[in-house]
Amino acid sequence: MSAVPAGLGYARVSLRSGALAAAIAVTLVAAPFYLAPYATTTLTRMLVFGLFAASLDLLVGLIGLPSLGHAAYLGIGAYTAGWLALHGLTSPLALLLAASASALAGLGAGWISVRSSGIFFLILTLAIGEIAEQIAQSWTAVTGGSNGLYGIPAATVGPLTASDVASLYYYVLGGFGVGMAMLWSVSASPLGAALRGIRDNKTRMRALGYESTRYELFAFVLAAAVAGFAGGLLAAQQRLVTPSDLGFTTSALALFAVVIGGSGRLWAACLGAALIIGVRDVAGLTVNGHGPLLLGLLFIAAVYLMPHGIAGLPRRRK
Amino acid sequence: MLLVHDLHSGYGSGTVLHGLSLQVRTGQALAVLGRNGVGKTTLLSTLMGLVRPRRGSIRLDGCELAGRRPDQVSRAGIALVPQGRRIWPTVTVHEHVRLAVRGQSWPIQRLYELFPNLAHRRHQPAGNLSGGEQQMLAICRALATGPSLILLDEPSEGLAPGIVSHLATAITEMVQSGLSVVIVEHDLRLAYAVASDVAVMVRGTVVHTAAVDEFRNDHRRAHQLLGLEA
Repeated sequence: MSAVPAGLGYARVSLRSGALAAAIAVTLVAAPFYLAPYATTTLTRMLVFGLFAASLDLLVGLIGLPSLGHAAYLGIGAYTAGWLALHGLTSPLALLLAASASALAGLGAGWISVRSSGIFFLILTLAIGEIAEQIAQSWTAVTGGSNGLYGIPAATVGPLTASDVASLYYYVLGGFGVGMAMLWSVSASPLGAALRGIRDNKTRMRALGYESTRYELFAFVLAAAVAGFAGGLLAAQQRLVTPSDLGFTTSALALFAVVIGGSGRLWAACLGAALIIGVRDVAGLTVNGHGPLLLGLLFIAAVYLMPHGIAGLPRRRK
Repeated sequence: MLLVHDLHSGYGSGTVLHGLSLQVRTGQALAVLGRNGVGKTTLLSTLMGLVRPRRGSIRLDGCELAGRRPDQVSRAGIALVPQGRRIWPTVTVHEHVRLAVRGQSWPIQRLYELFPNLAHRRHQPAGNLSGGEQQMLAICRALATGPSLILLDEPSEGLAPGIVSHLATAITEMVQSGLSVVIVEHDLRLAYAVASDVAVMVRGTVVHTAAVDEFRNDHRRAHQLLGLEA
């Protein structure tokens, strides 16, 4: 976890990075006008997975807690939003309730997990993720069991329905913006600096008066809430939620996205997530559906060629 | 006032402090002296709550702190400047201070007045500072928490003599402002320059206390306790 960005991360937005962010925002807003529907749908998936990966980066990059069960909170959010939509609540309120459900689950799981560290934290989060998947498999009356929740109605915003590719994209893009703004505001605040301080030297931060466990629990709950929010977007995007959405593979892919993007930078986790979705869902189709094989090769190459992820490449070239 | 009574502490199955007692008055600077391995750093770590005492009492202004967590000890008014400084190399000077600052007793402006070099380099990563500046930053960070007692562990370690005299001036100013100081230091010139009293440790306990002037003239005892030549 020593590959850290310079500084503890108080807001210092340069003109150059601000201009770049504005250019990316404009490009994303205009995407449905220049992309084919399939490409727009892929970009929608990238945004959902990007927000999920960024929420994991809050744990991995900011406070140094690598979770192997983060998909549990994505899934809880997705099931919550899916269940609410099936019962008539399709408005963005469902996203907030999805985030709340995941935050509540994160509070319970975090209370247990953050008291451990290292391998024990990994195992605990993995176990909690597996328990969540088993519950999703077996609680058929609510989750639909192995079939999952299907036939989820399209999300709505007032009189507008996100039923076609473009409107769904904008719905997800809006949610992505809200989620990223929340993560960024925490990351760039003095609170974010305290989280990084705890990651780099917990003993020193405790000696400065910070009760580290409370901060770690806060980060865990916030990461779970944003993952749940992304889960709500996932339910709206797929119109289907299955137990695999909160399984280990999803958690591992998110961790992969954080590593390949470069931990400690939220945008890098999004970039890593986009790369994974691109390789798995686009490039994978060109090699007879062997996307997972490509992902494996990509991961090995990334570990050897980009130890600090994509975000570390400019630093390496200097 | 700090009152330590019958303090026992250590690591694992090993006991380092054996019934140590000492007292630091408000505004007093006490130098804790002793040969390597007598438990000076363990004493500071135990006072800070980083090492849990097995027995004994640590009272700061009447408040019992033995067994409290480090964050609770910090909020009760004790700050530690650890050996080796333990600064964050990639973090700027100002971010260090901002992260630590608490209360009104040492606002950022006052800290920069005490350490003007840091004010000039406030936007630089701490890793770019000289050894002396890093030590100043470690002290500055500890002061920012608004303590009534500051613990300094080998502050002159690795510093050039000229820098040590700057350090002595800063510590003296801290004491004059009413802060209590416990300094563990091998450089006796610095210890004698800033402290009014000394406590000498042998095998995990304080065996001798005296005023600095009395101790520095008692060559026989200094030789006996510290191995110093007369």
